[in-house]
Amino acid sequence: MLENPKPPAEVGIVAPIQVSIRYAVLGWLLALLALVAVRMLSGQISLRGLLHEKTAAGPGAVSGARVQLLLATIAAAATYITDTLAATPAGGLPEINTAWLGVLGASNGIHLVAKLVAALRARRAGGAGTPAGSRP
Amino acid sequence: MDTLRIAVGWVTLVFVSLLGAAILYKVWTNQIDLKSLLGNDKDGDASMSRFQLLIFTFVVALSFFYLVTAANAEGLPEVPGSVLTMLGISGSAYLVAKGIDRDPAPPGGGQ
Repeated sequence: MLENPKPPAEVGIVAPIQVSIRYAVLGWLLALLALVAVRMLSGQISLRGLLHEKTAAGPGAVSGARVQLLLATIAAAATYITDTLAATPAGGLPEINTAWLGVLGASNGIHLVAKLVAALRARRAGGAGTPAGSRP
Repeated sequence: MDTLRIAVGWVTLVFVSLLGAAILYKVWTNQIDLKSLLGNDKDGDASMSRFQLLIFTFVVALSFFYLVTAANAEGLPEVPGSVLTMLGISGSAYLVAKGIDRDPAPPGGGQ
């Protein structure tokens, strides 16, 4: 990049369209994110049972496996956003620390094992009925 | 030649922006229904795996476009293997969870 800098004239022509693309793309993504977030908060996108065990009567007690997965997800996402804001464009997307990948893998594993145990219990209790943890 | 290049760039930008605006408008007016974005197919309860996948998708997409559109960016940024691994962990967990949820096959072996 430093060896072949753009001539000033070309930079002057290209710059407005680059700025427009920046605002258009990031604006669109942020608008979609805001739309999804507002709908989640207003209940139009249902979050019912997100953190609860599934029972025959509907969402049951809060599930520790789901809560830890939520916390791990938010922590990993926040860390990655922080890394991105500190990154230089030439370096590409920042790497994710191997430890964070381990945390995410373990967290998802705990969630899946808890879900499998609940499903097996429900099947044992009610024959081949509906599994307890029927939320992916 | 520069004029043509810039003109094509602007036309493409306007076209893609209109498509993006149309999608946002349809989401806003519920013509694209996001009600079950996080719900599963069976009972509509929210799914933690879907929620995680949604968050990671937004985080990676925003990070990618943030770097693409940075003032001194050149070309598309490289996506490291660890980012793909993170998305893979999330996507695989979602698929495994779907498998766990599947009703067991009836004794006759039918689906």
